[in-house]
Amino acid sequence: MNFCKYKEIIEEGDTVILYLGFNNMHAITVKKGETFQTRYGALRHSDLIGIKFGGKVQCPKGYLITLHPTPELWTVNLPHRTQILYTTDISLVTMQLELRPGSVVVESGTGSGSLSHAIIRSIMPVGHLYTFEFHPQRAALAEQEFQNHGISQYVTVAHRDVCSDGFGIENVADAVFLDLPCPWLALPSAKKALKQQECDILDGIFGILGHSRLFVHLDIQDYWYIWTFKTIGTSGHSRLLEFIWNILYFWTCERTFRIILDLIHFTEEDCVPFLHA
Amino acid sequence: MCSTLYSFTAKVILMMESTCLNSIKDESQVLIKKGENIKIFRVKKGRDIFMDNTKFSLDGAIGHPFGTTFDVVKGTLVKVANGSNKEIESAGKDTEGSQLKDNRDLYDLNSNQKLSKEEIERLKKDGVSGNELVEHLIENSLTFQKKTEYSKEKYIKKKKRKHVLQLTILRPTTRLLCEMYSKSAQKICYLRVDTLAQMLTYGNIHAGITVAVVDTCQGLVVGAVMERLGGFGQVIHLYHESIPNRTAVESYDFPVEMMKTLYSFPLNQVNTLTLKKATHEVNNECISNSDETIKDTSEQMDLEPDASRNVCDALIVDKNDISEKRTDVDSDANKLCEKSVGKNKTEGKRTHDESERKARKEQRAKEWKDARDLLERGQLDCLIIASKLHPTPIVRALMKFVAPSRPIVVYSQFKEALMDCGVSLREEGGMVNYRLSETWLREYQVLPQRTHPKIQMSGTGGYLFTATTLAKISVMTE
Repeated sequence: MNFCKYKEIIEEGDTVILYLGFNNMHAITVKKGETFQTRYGALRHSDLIGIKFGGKVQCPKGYLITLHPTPELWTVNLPHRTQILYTTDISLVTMQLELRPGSVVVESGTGSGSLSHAIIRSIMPVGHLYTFEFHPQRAALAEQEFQNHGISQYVTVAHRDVCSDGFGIENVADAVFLDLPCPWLALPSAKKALKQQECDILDGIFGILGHSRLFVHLDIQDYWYIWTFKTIGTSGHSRLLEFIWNILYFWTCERTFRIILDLIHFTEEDCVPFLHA
Repeated sequence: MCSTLYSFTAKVILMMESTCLNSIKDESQVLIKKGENIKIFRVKKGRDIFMDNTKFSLDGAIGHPFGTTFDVVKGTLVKVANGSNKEIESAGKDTEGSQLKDNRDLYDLNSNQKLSKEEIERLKKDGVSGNELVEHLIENSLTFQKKTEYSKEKYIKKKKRKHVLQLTILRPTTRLLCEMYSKSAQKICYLRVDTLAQMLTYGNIHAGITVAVVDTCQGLVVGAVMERLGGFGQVIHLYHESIPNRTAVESYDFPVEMMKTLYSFPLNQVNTLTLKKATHEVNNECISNSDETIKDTSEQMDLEPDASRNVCDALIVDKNDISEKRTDVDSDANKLCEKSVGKNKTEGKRTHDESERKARKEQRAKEWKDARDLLERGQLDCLIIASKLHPTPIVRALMKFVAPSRPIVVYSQFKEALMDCGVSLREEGGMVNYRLSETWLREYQVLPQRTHPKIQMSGTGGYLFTATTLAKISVMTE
């Protein structure tokens, strides 16, 4: 199946999101003969084949709903190999990197592929994602996942340490996204990866996600606009935006609850002076 | 199949070429950013624009890539040479070593600056460059040397912002347009960039889908959706006034091919829509991939020459537009209006008016029919609502046209409206995975040892309600 193309009927090999109730979803790959145990009883995979996405499936003690996979549903249901980016951050990254069909994006590290799926969705069918992961198993798993989801033609996974070896590609990308412990090490190579223009102006956009490190003093003259965003507990630089999830109302059996997540304030110790290469 | 593939590929190339062009052209829309001030203009050879109390022409920008920084020199744009900004910064560097300074003896008096306002004006008239003027100001400041290094940097930055006429020309994109509209947020129902980003993401907006957008945000959401579709797929704009207000869509400068994927339909006729019975044939038609839908629309949209269509649109935009952007963005609309008015005067007003009005009516009726056909198939891949109208009746009326397992995204400035919407939808059933959320967005100043949140923070970005549709009960398998 193609993750990023809507389909009507479930077939074997498809990824299906099973919705059992609020905050209770599972992602499965349909395979004849397999069974999925739920609290409503056993669900035979073969029962799913032929059902419409969005339709109900009966189980011995109840029913569950099948949903078409989307990068958003995948993000909350994927097997975590690393800490992932969630949809709120992903949406702002996509907006700030100005992704659209045809964009060529370079990403490192791939991690569990949460952001990768979202990027591919935004840039297909005529864009491409080059994603780099230095952990061999994660790189292989990511490649396998993209293949299972039918989107491998839009992405190239490379097993490579971009901080020490660079990206190895030049003059291709419209946008670069770095989610690394030491992104400044990859920055010179990332600059080269962006599409160059005659007047030495890089029209590409960087997004740098930092985990509890602050990079300051990125020579501003050389970069007209670098944007870094901050999620809870991490930090960034220059034009820094930070999210705080404020009020989430949930309806579950007449109850509503409010969850307020607050910002973790960072201190001066987090600041690491960055020397521009 | 071969011919559709060819037309699809040709379309792809066309759209890629038009959307990836990186240089500023005549008649293109550009965003001009000067400091915090960002505005949209249309480049017109020989026509001056007015920004920040300065009048200048944009001719000097033509041919340069987007993202170039220019100096305003005697009413024209001159590209800034690389590295010219570095000189002035060194004036702030502390040469006396790391003596600890503070502002205990600094008094904020007008007399601290020896140059008077008239003298500064005179220097400007004499043709002193912005950077030199800032240097003069520093020399003539009594307190400058007593300031800390950071304070000196801040002072220089402030003076440069005022006296150095430097601006950057950017390609209009959603995030920049959001920044521009945030200054007049009421026009876009206080929609903030991160909320809009979430709408597009939760709505799974990608190439090849059919999206219905209810938009009273001057078409910003419609434009953002179109940008994400990249020309693949269709957008139906449902509007509530007599004519759709889509000034933001103009700002994107979408190529003609892409504008053909935009349909309009009036909200007040939604009740006349009937869902076509989901027969096998209809279904097969609908499960079309992007090539086929593009083929369909290009066959259906048998347009009159573009010029007349532009006249219609221009007149429409002209009537509705009350923002000050009118003179800049719609200058050609005005021109066309003048042309048609002039025509009327010479060729007999009444008959020409009649035929024009008739042509417009027919055009509109055709557009409505195309939109109606699209909607009535009941295969919408996403429904996005971002309007000042109460969302509940709109969602209830339109949800039956959305295919199963598709997202519905509703934005409102007020959470009460969305709570009401959510409760109403729960009663009706047919949807799962309800979520109502609000996000905070905080901007930081990040400089060495001066990192802190900016003092001003956006108070609201509105609220978002999302849900996923289910398959209709009648077609459900047991």
